[in-house]
Amino acid sequence: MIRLFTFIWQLRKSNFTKALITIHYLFIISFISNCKKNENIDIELINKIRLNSYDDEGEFDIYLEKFYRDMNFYGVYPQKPKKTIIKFSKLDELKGTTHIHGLSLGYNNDELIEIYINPSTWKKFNKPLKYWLMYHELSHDVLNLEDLEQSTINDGKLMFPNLESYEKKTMEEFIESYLNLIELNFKKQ
Amino acid sequence: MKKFPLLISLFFCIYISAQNISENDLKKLAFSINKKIIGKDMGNGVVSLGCTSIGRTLLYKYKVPTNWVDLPEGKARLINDLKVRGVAKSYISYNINVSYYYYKNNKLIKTININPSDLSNYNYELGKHLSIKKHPKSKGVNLKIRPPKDWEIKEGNRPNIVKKFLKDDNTYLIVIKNLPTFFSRKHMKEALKDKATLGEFAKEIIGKEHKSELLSHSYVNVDNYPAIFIKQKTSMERLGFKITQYMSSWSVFYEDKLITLMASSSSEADFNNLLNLYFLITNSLVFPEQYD
Repeated sequence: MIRLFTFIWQLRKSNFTKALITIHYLFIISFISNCKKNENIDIELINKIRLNSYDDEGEFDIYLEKFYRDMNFYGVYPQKPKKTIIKFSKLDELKGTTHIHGLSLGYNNDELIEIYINPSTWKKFNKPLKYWLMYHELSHDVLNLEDLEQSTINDGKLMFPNLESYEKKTMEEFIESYLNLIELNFKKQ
Repeated sequence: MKKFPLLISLFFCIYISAQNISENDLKKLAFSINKKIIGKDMGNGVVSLGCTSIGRTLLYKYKVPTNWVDLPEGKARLINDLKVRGVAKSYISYNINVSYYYYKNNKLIKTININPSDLSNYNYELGKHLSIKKHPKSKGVNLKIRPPKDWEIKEGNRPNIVKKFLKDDNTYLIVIKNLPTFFSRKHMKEALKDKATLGEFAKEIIGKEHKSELLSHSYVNVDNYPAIFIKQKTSMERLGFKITQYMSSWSVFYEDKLITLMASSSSEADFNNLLNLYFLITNSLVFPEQYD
């Protein structure tokens, strides 16, 4: 939204029609490829996401295992939940979530990890992007962290809410980003 | 056209009886050879100007006639001659270089330098890239490497050994172990540039299980990933037999894995002879994912 207002302000002196078209375009762009926690999704949609989900056949186990490993190494010991659900769900086939790579529903609930990943996204993503996505969602669900504000100062950080499909991330960037998250949010015990 | 002279180093075989030869020993040897060959007609108008030594190199000098013409395959013929006469093995065993200087009208017109590796019967060529992607023991690491030609490629026996390349008593292993977390290249580079930290890591890597002597260690890069290069000598007991292994290894910090490329030989001569080959193998390693 901040980007949107900045752009509108810059365009106010130019042609009105051009401005309208640009605003419309920006509005669409800002909703592309978000990683979300559940605050803006209604219960009906959540139920559809759950119904539309299917097993990952162990695909996500390694990410969960490594997440706890890495947190513990740096002295962060989050509670392990009684129930863990990490599945695929065809988010791009549901109205309201077509733009979403991954969704966390266990935010602020330490008894539960519930994460759904868009399989179309997963197929396209390379290794660093997969790690990025999983650690982002797990940081919502396990560490109860919010998304960062969508501003340029937070661009490139793990909890930045947008992750474009065409983005190139490296393992180096992923490692640095979650180390940065730990440094900012936790101290080594 | 005069033929390229074939040279005899018989004196070398007679003199050497000790297991190791120092630079001082080489000086004495050169002196002894020099006394016997200086001024001698070697055939085809070639006259010996004597023999000296520089470091670990025996240097033979010759005066050649004005109509002397150098043949293009001169080095190969010399190498063959040394092998046929049985002296090549001594040069390899004692890690001695040999150089030949040719003078025409007091001007140096040709030099031929021969290293122990030139005299080796080992093939220094590498084969095609071998990938370990999706190998059950790769722990998710995707890398490819070129094994040496004519070496046997086998599966590793132990849980962390992915592949091994074998030739006689020489081996090259690819070992992959887990690190406790992800380490960024930036942080590892910073850590390993500190000499004290590097030394600590090197000691950890060689371990305490066997009697290992750390001969040298340094920080290097292997396909853009920080690594520690170690040379060590290890004595161990196997089924009641005492074995000494000469090893060079590259321990690469790759994400959350420690990849060790370990080359070893049971004889010091073979180890020195093959060190360049081990370097070539390691240098051929590629981590393809970083280029995606």
